[in-house]
Amino acid sequence: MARRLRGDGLPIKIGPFWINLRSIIPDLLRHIAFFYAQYETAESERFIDFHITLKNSGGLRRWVKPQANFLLDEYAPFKPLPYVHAFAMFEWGLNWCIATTAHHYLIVHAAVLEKGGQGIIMPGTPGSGKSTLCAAMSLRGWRLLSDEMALLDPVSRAITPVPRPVSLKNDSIGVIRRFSAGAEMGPAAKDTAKGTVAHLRPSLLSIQKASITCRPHAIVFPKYESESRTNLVKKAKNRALMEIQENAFNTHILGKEGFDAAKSLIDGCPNYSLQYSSLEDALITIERILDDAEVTA
Amino acid sequence: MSGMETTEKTERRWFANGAEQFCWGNWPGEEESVLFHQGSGDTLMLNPLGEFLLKRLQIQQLTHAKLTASASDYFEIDNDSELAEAVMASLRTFRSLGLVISDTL
Amino acid sequence: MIAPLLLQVLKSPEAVAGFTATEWDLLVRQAKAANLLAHLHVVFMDRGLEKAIPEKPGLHFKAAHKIARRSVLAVRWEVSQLQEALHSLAIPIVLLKGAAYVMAELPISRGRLFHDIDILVPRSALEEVEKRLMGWGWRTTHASAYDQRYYRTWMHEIPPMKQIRRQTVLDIHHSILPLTARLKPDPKKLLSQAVNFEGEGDLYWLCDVDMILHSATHLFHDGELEHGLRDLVDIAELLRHFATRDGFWQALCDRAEEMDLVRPLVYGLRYVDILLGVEVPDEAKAWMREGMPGRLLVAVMDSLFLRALQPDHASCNRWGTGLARWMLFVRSHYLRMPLKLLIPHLIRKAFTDDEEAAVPREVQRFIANNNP
Repeated sequence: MARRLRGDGLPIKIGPFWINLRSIIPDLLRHIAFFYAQYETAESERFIDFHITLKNSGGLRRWVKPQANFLLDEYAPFKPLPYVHAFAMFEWGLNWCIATTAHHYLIVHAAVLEKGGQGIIMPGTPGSGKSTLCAAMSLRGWRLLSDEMALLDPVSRAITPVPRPVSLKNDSIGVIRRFSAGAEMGPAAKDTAKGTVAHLRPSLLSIQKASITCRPHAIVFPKYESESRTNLVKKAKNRALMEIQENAFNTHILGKEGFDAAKSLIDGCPNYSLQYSSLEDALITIERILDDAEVTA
Repeated sequence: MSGMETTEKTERRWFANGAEQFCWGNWPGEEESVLFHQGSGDTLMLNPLGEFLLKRLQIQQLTHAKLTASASDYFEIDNDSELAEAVMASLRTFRSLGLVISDTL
Repeated sequence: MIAPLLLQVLKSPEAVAGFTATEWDLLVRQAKAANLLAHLHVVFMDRGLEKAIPEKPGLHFKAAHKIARRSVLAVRWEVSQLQEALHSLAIPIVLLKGAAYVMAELPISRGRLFHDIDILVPRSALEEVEKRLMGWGWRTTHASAYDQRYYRTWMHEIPPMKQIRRQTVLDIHHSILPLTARLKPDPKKLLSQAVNFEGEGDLYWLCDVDMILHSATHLFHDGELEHGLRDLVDIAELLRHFATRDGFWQALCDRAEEMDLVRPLVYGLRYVDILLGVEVPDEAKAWMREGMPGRLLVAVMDSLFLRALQPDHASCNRWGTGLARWMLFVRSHYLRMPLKLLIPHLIRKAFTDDEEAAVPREVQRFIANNNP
């Protein structure tokens, strides 16, 4: 694996996308080996959606403080970052590639998990606790479709999985480690600007079932509130639509098509706001949504 | 907005900027509606007066006076200066968002 | 030399019928780098080739086309805002380039991305235009006194303005070439032939031949060669569209002479013919021979332009492509400015905009050697 990453690149299938990844950055090679060893790879030459290279950024600084540069083909959309962030850079770089290209989906910034064929979409602004909740659910038998982006088919409303390592920040890292002894986490990277970031490896089942779409059953807008009781309330559809529009990456590209898709999603399933502080209680509440679509009055 | 004051006194017609570019989302029992405007790319939440005014202008170009009268009929409220000011304030906001365009007669 | 895949496909789209997965892969990469994915989608649809495109690459073409369709709506809306801001001035607003293609509903606008909006207004109205636009939330993008002075003294446009809420950029021209350029097209002549859009009052765009002349002037006198191929495709598509009217070619050549823009048109026609296979009739070719620079210069220009107009992708770079683009950048500045002005300006560019323009070592040396 490392040999191919260092050479012409390794074609990896991540969700519906084929990525050809090239890099000689040791931190990244370790992370790829840990997180992506179970993903499908290709031997033969094939059509690649994204040719991604993470390379040393040039200049004298590389001898003082090595920096990684993200390239989509030959184009560098971001400023270089220190080596220690090479993997995080790959992850959000790939998010950027998908969000700017995969316009056959309405792409909503949301976690998606599935159980018994029923999907839960959790849109989330930073600080909502979406990723923590998503990580906890994936450690309790939910299939992870994505922790960052719901790929929604505008017509059929099916959601296409793109399972990836779940990104956790600061306190959430310890919370998830304590929540489950089975949590497989990569090393934490410290950044003065954003705090500490670490990733949780998705379950093998989530990776193996990445080609199976699911139907959305409910939309849950989580809100972490320390010390609060778990509280699930129905959300007004107009508010939910506003939030989906705000959380969609490509609503400006899809225009009416995207708006209609968001509207039909909201029409088609119940919407809730979930305030929580205890992960255990939140999980019980979400399980109840699956049993009965109308949990609250 | 510059230009606004100078022509305020003459009669001007207001119309929706790209009538076919307004996408609406409303649900029974919910007072406010969601508007997505394709040209500007903005999604907005509108109160019933705002919704009524824009939908009216989507169909027809109207002066401020005619628009106010039509709102007065629809909501069954007095056609007084308070309503006229509320309509004008909405039009100014919509104009600054690029949702309506005005034209001097 | 084997032409890059993208150029082969632009010349004969039917070539894609037998493409392998790796050829599709390369074509998508080259087309993306050249900003021509959406254009290719339109070409494939027009030629009934949709069945020849496999699903995966097809999604990339369709996505780019969606972006292009959206940007048409965005341009129309942005123009409506400009009209609203400038309406009371009662001056002609001439839309240039992309915005004109959209409002005139030219075929080229169906598969093209638009970044900036370009307008041409009478020089005497500039101050008022700027003031009105400030009132509507546009702000100048170049705050430094040096840049302001540079633009206002030497350029054919004022510093670009950006809409604070939407971040869209507006270029306001009063001419199509800098005041210092050797060629002196008269903007009044452009305005006098501009086409009015019925029902849109103040909105105009250049007449068909001027549109082509402007496009060629922009490409062969400006320094933006990274998008060179896309701009060349613009010229090719404008020619294919307008050439159907009687007397078009004669009118085009006459107008080039009248406007003092013979050289850019000669280059434009030469390279759409060589690279994109546009059929230029014999009479026009005869006219081109008269206007052609000396044989030695043609050979030099060919070696520069034929490199620089390739797709901006490593798979198309022959030795010296980067240098060729930079030589042309220097050339285009040279054409627009006396040499004394040129050298300090290039140095300033090199050291202030290091992100926009990382200067290759050859060029740094060129500047160092020429700096008094």
